[in-house]
Amino acid sequence: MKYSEMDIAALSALLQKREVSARELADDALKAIAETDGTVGAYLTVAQDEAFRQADLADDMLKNGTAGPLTGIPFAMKDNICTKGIRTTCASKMLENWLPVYDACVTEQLKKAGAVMLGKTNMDEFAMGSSSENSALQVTHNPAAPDYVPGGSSGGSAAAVAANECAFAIGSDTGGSIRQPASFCGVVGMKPTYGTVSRYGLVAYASSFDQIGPLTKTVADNAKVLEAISCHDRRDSTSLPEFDTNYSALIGKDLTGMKIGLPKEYFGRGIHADVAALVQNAAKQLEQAGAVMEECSLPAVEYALPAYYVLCCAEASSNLARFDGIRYGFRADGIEDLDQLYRKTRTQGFGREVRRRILLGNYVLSAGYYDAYYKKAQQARTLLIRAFAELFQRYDMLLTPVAPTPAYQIGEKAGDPMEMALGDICTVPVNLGGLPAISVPCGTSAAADGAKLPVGFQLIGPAFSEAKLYQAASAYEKCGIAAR
Amino acid sequence: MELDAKTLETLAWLSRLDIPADEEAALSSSIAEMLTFFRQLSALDTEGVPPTAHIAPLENVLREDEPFSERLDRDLLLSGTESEDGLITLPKVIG
Repeated sequence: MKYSEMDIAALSALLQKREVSARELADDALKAIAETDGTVGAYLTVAQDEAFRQADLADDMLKNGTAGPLTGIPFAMKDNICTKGIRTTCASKMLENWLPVYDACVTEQLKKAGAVMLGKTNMDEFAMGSSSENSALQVTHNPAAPDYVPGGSSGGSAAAVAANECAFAIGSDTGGSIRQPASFCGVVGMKPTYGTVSRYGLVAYASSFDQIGPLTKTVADNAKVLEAISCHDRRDSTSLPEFDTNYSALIGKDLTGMKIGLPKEYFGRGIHADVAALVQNAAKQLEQAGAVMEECSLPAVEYALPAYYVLCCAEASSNLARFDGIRYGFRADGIEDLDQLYRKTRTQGFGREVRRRILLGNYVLSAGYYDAYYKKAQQARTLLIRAFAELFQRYDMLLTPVAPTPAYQIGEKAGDPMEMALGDICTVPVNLGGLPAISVPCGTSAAADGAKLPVGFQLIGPAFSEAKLYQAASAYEKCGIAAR
Repeated sequence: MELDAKTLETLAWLSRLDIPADEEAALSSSIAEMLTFFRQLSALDTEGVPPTAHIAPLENVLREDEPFSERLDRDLLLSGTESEDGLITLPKVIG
């Protein structure tokens, strides 16, 4: 097996035994990118010099006995997470040449762990989208089927893992942006509990939803990466002060006694037959592994999607006000006065979808509409949080699809933002509730053109239940592999 | 449903955006479509339900006022901002 095809656990074992050096792994990974990324388009920036520099530091850690599970492991970073001196574009013309002067907390944590960053990955502009087609800089193709989207907004990160162009990747999830591309590309993606991974240095989209998390080849790898990146950080005012970060603790323990609910609303209208069948099949395998499965109901999800879009557009319109042509990145030419500077810079610097969401956000926040839209959506959020809390009194976790359909063709939905938004129906309730949820590959769906499109299932737990989610996901992964 | 031109103009002003003429019709109908979608929320009974602004169980407290020595100002000026003599340059604001 090639190094680039190995998971973190296998690579780490080789590094510890000195059968390979971090520098050799970095070199191998950069070669894999050079060979493959021309057809995938996962990376916006390949940071070769930085990768070798970090690899040499990792080799020092391996020599002096300070290495951990991620030391020397090559990874990719979503391009909305700040990396000092390496451009961070958010896939936008607005920040096309922007060089951050500081590292995000997640970047710091991964440097501390000795992981080796290979480069920055493509995404929907400012994380607004579900297919990565809203990138102003590049198209990313699904490694499983090149005519299809990789999902989004962390499409570059998911594609990089699936195409063996890194051992793991970091993404961010505001309404499903880690889980849905993980499902479309056939990798494992975790959106952790809100507040467990610092948002310091993550370019803000919708601050009360945004959360950083890992995309990996295996469930155990995912837990290891989350252990490395989650911590309390006083520079993020929403970073939680105390919580257990031993996310691998329950992996390998059997599921006897675990109760998993199947909310029937997630399996109704609009769910592709293959997706429903594959997720139901995963439920059977979890049952065979010892879990008790039971149908349940979560009617409050009916209002989750409109509530989410009201709130995220409102937060985006406020967060993106900072891009004014003065302090960051792009500034339009031929400016005569300040108002023109703002308007021309923002109109030319932002893509169509970003401008649409800013306009919508300002509408729902404006006088006369605030109560009807913004406050109403915040109340719907409360009702959904209560409904989840009730279900988690009876169930350890919930099992649902990640997305209603497998990946679609590039261009198929690009002109219809409403249809694209409807694809977020299974993932946004989790962000409204600040809950952790994992996307786990569970098979493929055959498209009419013969493409085999990966499908994932989603496990949703109460706050701080990551270790249990990994336990169930890992048990499934084992029986899934046995079944293959 | 279409969004009337005056509302779109007000929104554009609030957002500090121009609406390119060739995008106006599509943008207007797309925003109107989303607003219709948002109106589904009006059917929800929210009498007496408190709004959730944020999920984190945190109190807004002041932290210790500790000095730190990290100076980013020079670096910030070099990170793509138009500047002169250590100051950000802008078009003339006062006539």
